[in-house]
Amino acid sequence: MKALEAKLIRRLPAKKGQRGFTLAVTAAGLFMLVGMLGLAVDVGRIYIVKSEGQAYADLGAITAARALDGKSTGITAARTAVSNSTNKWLFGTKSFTDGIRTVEFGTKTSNSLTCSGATYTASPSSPYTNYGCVRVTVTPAVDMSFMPIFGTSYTQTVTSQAVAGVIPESFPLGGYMPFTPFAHMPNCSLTVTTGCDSTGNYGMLIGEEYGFRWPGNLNGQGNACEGDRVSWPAYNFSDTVSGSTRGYFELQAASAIGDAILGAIQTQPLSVGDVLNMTNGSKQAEANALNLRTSYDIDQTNYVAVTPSTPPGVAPGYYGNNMREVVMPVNSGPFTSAAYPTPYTVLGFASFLLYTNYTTGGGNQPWCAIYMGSSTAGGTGGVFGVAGAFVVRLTQ
Amino acid sequence: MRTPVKRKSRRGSAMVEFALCATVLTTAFTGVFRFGYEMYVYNELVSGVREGARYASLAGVSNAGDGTCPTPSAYATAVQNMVVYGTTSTGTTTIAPNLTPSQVSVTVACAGTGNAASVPTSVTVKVSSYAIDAVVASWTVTNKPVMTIPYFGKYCSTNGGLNAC
Repeated sequence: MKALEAKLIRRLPAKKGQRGFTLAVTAAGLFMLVGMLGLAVDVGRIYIVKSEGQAYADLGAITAARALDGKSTGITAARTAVSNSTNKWLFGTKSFTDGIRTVEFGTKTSNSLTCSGATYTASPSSPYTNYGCVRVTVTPAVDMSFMPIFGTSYTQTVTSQAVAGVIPESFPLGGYMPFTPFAHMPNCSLTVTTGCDSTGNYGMLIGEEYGFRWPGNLNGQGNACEGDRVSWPAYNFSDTVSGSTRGYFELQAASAIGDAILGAIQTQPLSVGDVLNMTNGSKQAEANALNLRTSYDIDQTNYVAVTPSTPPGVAPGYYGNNMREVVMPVNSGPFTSAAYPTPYTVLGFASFLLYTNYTTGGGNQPWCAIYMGSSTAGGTGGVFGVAGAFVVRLTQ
Repeated sequence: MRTPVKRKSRRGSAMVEFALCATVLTTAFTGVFRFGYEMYVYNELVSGVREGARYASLAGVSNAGDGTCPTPSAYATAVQNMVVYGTTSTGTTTIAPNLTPSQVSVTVACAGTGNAASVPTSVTVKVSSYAIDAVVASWTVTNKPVMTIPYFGKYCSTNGGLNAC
């Protein structure tokens, strides 16, 4: 019996080892716990720095793209716009310095709507009109507290990037405005080779104002917008249409006028070669809708039209949200020619910048808008540096 | 008869080990929860402030146009709601527990001289003071997250002129 007892007691050292097993399991558990802690703290910090970096890059890219003006001054202004940002990282404690910030400018290789085909350089060279995209990259390095235990580096670089571009705007808000200015001459094409505009601007000057709704009594050329009056002798015709049928071509009810102007809603498709059937519409209702539309624009600057005596024209530095910059069909006017035997034939589409206030005062007052360039609607072209409608937006 | 004594000793050491481990485990789990939750809420605040700043940069600002640069209360309220609720009006769900619009600060900055000193040039949106309550501990963030963005919106002045309201 005693022998058996002694035998049992000798087996005790094996049970003594189980106590160490608990500690070993705890140690292994702690290892995992540190991993969890690392995930919570280090990865959490990475996410926050990513959010802060992305916000900085987004805002920097937009403000930089807005500063581009086709000159070296625009490049400098774009860099300054990014570096002037006071937004910080790591819980708002550290500044984005030059060492962790890159501002690059992109040249579009094709008429891209996304800047995706752009080639970027931090040191652009002339001609600066080619640069229509800005890429801002920030690379802050976040210190790691726990993760290095598992073999990762002591810092983790968190890259955030944003691209903003001056993007060709082919169809602002989806449709055309229900007004139609007169082309001073058709654009040159395969069938029209003489008496035409080889620059594709319908004989108009970028930055100059033209009428999109003409008055009943032209009074010679006294009641004409500056661009029509000064550089287009033909704008002195006998008005053969009547009443308010002088430029407006959509539905006539007051609510429909509002829809057509405020929402650029079209009730029928419109293509080059179509003949516009202008309609009666309350001039007061049209003025109200136009003024309401322009009031929604974030750019309320009253730009002044350039004078035709100082070509080449330059479009105003409009930076709004396209409530004022609209696309209208340009028509052949009340005149006929071999190429366009029917009056009021749609020759193409163009962008115009509306003024901020239209009134019906004076009865014979024309409504004018600044010509911004041939629209890219329905065709190619419109890369930065070429006439057209553009808008600044984030593309990445 | 030494065996019962040894068994009693093992039971005690298990208790001690459990107490030690439970302390470490509880502390570690609590820490993980606390840091994780605080990071999560702070990240929500960063997102909210960013949305508010982007809205603030485009929303209309009107003032007296007399050279002063106040932050219009209706404008500030809309931005505060955008940060807290994601909408310009008062909502029901906040981005962070118990966050109120009054804890969000909106400041319009102007530049220029004369009446032009009333035209906004930038807007700063920040959480002025908010306690992130992680149950076991509370972390109060003061004047952060903060975001300043150039003002791109429509400005109008009751003083008339080119920017008349």
